[in-house]
Amino acid sequence: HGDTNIHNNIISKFEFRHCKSFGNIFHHYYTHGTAPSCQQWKEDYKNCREWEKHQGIEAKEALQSSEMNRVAEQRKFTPVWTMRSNPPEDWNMPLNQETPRDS
Amino acid sequence: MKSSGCKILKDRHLSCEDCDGTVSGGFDAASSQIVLCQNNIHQQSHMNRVVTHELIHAFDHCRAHVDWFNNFRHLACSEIRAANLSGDCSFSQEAARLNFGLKQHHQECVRSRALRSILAVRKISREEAEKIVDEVFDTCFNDYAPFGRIPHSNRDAKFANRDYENRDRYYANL
Repeated sequence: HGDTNIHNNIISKFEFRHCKSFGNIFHHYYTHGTAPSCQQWKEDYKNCREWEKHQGIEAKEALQSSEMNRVAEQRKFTPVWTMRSNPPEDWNMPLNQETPRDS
Repeated sequence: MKSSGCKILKDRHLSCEDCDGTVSGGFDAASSQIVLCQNNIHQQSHMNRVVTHELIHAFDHCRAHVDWFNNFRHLACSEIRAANLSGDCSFSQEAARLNFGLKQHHQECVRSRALRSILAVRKISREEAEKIVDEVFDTCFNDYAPFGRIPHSNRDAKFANRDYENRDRYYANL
């Protein structure tokens, strides 16, 4: 559990630094037309260190909430297609040389 | 791909062929194969982008019921994602095409390349294709799977890979 936490500290620290880097700010502006918001990573790193030192429940809950929000952001939209529960059956079927090509 | 149940076997799922026109590659859902146009790809960096682009189509085919042939919204969605996530629309790529743009230019590029790809493979009017791209754009542009973010740089790609490796750990912590 201790190793996991040190690992998470390192991740949030690197993500914060990466977020604030010139390269990332440039790419964010190029993509979204705005500068990125890096405050959340800074908070996460602070809470991670806090949890490591004092095992405070508030710090732990803040971290969990941040991660849940990040995951929820990724899933905010309704996909245009239905997800599969199994991969396509014919993924590894032998190739039929006469199958017409279509890209 | 492997953990989605669609492991890529070089000899089975990738094929180098000569192609017509200026097409760089394609994904053939009927045979589950990525075609790379050997006569139209002359640089490693281009090859890297084409392979990434087609792998995104293959990934979509693997994880979802994509109706490539009859549902233009599905096709548009996968083309938007492939243009968005493969590096096709990076600043340097666009500059090399003499398309100089900065603020939100990435999105313009994604829209226009997705449109081009659709018109290249389906017989529909430009207006209809534009309408379809508009309908699905927000949803599909913001679908960053499997990366979790748009990989603009090697560092982005490394971080995305690290997140993927740690996915079980994150969910266990939650």
